Amino acid sequence: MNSLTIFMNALLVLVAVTGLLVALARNPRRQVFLGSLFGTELALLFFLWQAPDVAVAELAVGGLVLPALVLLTLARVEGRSK
Amino acid sequence: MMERFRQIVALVLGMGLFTLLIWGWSALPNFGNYPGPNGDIVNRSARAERQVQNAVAAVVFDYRGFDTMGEEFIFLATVMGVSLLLRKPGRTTDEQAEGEQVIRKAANQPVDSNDAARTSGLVFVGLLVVLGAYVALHGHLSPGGGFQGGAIVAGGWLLIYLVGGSEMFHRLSSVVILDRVEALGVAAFILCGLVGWLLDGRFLGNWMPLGQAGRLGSAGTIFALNVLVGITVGAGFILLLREFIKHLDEVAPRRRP
Repeated sequence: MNSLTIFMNALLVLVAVTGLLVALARNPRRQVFLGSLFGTELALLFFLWQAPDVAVAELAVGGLVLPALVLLTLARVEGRSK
Repeated sequence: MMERFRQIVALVLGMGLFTLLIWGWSALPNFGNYPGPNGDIVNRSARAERQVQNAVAAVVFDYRGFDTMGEEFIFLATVMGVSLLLRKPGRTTDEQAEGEQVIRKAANQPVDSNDAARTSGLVFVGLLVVLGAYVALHGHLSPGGGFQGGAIVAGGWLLIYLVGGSEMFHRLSSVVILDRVEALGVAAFILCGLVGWLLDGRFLGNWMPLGQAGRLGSAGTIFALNVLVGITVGAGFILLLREFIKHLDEVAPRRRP
């Protein structure tokens, strides 16, 4: 088992743990940032599993655009409730 | 009693799902063991057949270009659906006036993002937009492509909101232009497919000159479709962000994320 394999296995565990944290987060705002982190980790995972096209798409959509849309929605919802 | 019953049901279903997952996982092929012939065939022949370096792009925009067209339609339908939901009825006929109204309202709103965010945002707007254009233009040469490039451009565009607030964002993201750019991008994709049908005998056939693999102007329609998809996706995502930001301004003009 070389160092890359160890790193890839560690990344798998990290993705699983982050995914669990996203599901367990009660605060929506914290959930958004955890979700963004999850997307970034997934992008790294795709890259290491030799799917760079998917990695770039995941990085842009999962790490950037989706969290931005959810944050904007949250700001809108919180603005209404006040 | 009810609570207890629900817990038992959840436990049984959860264990069943877990068993199914383990069962499916146990039958997965080993890591690196690729059973199908198609990937190897494409890897071997795509470069010679289409003068393309990125075999994924050859599959997505040529061999299975029809699927990508379907995805374009899904994307267009999504953006249209969100716009329909978020644009107020009665004002959609005069979008220009609507935009100006929002800008006027937003102009009164104080920009309360800090200097560090604004300065670094200003630096990264240009860099990200250029990077996105690069990724879309080089889809046939390197990882990435139209969708990825368009999404990166939109991500960079979002920084305008961080730098200049919604006033500047709305001024630079004209809904009239974005709507048309997105629709024309999809229309040009279909037109390219129809021309392929006429000249090459099959819908989305690669009818443009193929050039030499490794050059920017190579791979024929793969290059052209990448650019078109980049334009469509970029405009679509900016349109989505714009609708969300506009909605935020209308409801709570003083709030910023």
